[in-house]
Amino acid sequence: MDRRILLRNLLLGIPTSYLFPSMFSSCTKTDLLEGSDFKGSVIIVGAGAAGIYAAQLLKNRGIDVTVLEASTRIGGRILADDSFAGIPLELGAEEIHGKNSLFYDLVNFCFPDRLLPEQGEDAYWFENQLRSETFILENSDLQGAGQTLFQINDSFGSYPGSDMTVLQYLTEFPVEDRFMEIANALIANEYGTSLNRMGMFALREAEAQYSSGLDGFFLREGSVWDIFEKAFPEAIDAVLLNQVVNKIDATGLKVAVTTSGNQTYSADRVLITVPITILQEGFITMLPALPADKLAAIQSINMGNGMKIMLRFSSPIWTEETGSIVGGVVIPEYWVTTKGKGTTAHVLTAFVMGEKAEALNGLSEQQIREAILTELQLMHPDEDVVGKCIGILVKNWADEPFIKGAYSFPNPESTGQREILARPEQGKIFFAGEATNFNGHLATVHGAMESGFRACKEILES
Amino acid sequence: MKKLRTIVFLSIFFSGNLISQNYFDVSGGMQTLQQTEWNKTIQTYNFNRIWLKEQMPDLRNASNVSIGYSGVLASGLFFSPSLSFSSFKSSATNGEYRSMVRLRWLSVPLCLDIFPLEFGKDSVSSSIRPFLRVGGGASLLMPRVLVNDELVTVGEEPYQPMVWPFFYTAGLGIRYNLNRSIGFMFSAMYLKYPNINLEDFSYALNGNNLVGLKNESSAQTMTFQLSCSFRLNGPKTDAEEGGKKKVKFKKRR
Repeated sequence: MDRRILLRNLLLGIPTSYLFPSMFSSCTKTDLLEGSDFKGSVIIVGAGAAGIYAAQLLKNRGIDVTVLEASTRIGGRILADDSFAGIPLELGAEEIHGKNSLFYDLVNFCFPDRLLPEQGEDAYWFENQLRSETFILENSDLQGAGQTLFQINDSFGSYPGSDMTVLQYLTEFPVEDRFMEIANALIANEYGTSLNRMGMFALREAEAQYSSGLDGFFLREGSVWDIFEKAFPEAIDAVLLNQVVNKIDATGLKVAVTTSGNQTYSADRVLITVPITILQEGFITMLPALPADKLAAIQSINMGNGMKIMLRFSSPIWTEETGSIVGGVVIPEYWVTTKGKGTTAHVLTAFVMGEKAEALNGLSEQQIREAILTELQLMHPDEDVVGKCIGILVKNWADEPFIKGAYSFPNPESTGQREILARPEQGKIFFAGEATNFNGHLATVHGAMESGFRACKEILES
Repeated sequence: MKKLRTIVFLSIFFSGNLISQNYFDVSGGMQTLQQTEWNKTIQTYNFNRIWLKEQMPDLRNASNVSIGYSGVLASGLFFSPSLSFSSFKSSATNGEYRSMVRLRWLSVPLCLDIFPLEFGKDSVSSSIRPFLRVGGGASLLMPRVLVNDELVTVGEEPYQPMVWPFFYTAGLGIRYNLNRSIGFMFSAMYLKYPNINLEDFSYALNGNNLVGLKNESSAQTMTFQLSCSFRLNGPKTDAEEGGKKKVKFKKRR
């Protein structure tokens, strides 16, 4: 090649290199936390799923983290009982909702053999008889009303109408009254409340974004807390128990956190993960006061009462196929907790939320037992339900002094408020917890974990 | 649709004009990818799954194979359609837990090769022939997210989207004719995808989109290829005929 040709080639090459500069910049790493250089200290208030997960995320980034927990134990609404039936029974969070979630991934990684798909079939308490799903769907006398009932859940995410309570909507929609207890169980009780307390817009907001999938899983052995204990040991080490925080002062350079024992901790950032009820009741004084829209958001998101009642039987009163009983008047949902878990114990979990939980709230354990066994006897007339019941364990989450309820739900006033609740304040105060989850996964363990991640990212970018 | 019609029209137009100083190219090489949103999605996965010791790397490089055809349109100007395939992978194996993002990338570029040293001339000056390549086309992208070799689901459906983004491309190459039948070609191509609408990738990998990653984003790739070129039967070039063609002057008589 002579010099002239070489020169021409070079002249072609130079402008070409100008065409591609952005391509060569691809060699630099894109970073999720672009511009983040936070290296300070963080106090996390609350050692539930969100707090523990956020603590572990921050510790992994080398951040100095202290977790202050008001109660005498770690876990918040994750709690198991080992003594009642010889296997861990979840008194709080139990089901793993969907396969496409952080929590499912965690369990699938730590204990893949323990994932137990929902067992058995649903039986529906319908017109004073237990009926199968097939009966509800295919019985010609019902003229498709059963199908309407089961399909309606899929339509909430694209609800086009005006705002009203879910009960009002179902009444207007062709869901017959005789199906209303089943609808209450499937829609409202699952969300931790009652149909008349849920709003259509708030429900649409949650359902439209829910992306975890509909498969349900339980743990074949062990407890939900075992998973956290195995996965997040450093976060657990950072927890200080019996630290009831009653003041957070962000007026200084550092944030001062004071407990009821007059102990003061200070850090560069504070992450609040307490249940919404604790914020609502003003247990924690904030300095400076939170903005008006934040205070309004706190008051607008409701959390209902919730109970889990374990009933142990000497032998099953249910059929071999039964997994759940849906649509009870006293208890909207029962499920056979011990099914598929390789135990000889026979335990039925009674899951009651919202108004129905409030109805049981003032009753003694004996009265609760009688109310439930009366209903179960009606459902199983050929069984000696009372005679076979050998134990009862009641967990009323409203009685927990630092929780005061089950989980947040989509009440009408909560529409659009979770994002405001989640918003950081003054660049120093951050919020996490299931109630702050504004991407459709409220009221779930993975939703709490997601909020912990969001807050952690906000802190690192602050 | 307008772009697609234009491409189809060009293909038909050029195919009718192809004369037979043609090449068939079989190529291998690598493709690099720059796509910030997808890599942020993977980084979000890594950030959250702190229990995984081995993390998933960004989608960066993939080996690439292609077949192509170059047909002469005029002296120093070729039409070069091709079909290329790359498979980008980002995977991590932690014990028996294997997570993977696989992005299969099939492209159909329709390009013009301009040989500046020969453009407008009737002769080929050298067996080493640099060229400039410009064009555009469409790609078929098939991203998949697998956990333990099982496709993940979004909602209730397995996540297996197929998207067809358009791109434009420019690059440089060089052809070297080893003999009358076989030659080699090296090319470096830049491809710009102004808009790729890949829905729900963050939901598929992370189960959420808390980071607010966009479905629609641009991407750019760079492809480096070494080709083996097979000369198809056709009229010989002047160089092959043994010398320059004599220039004929109109005689003034």
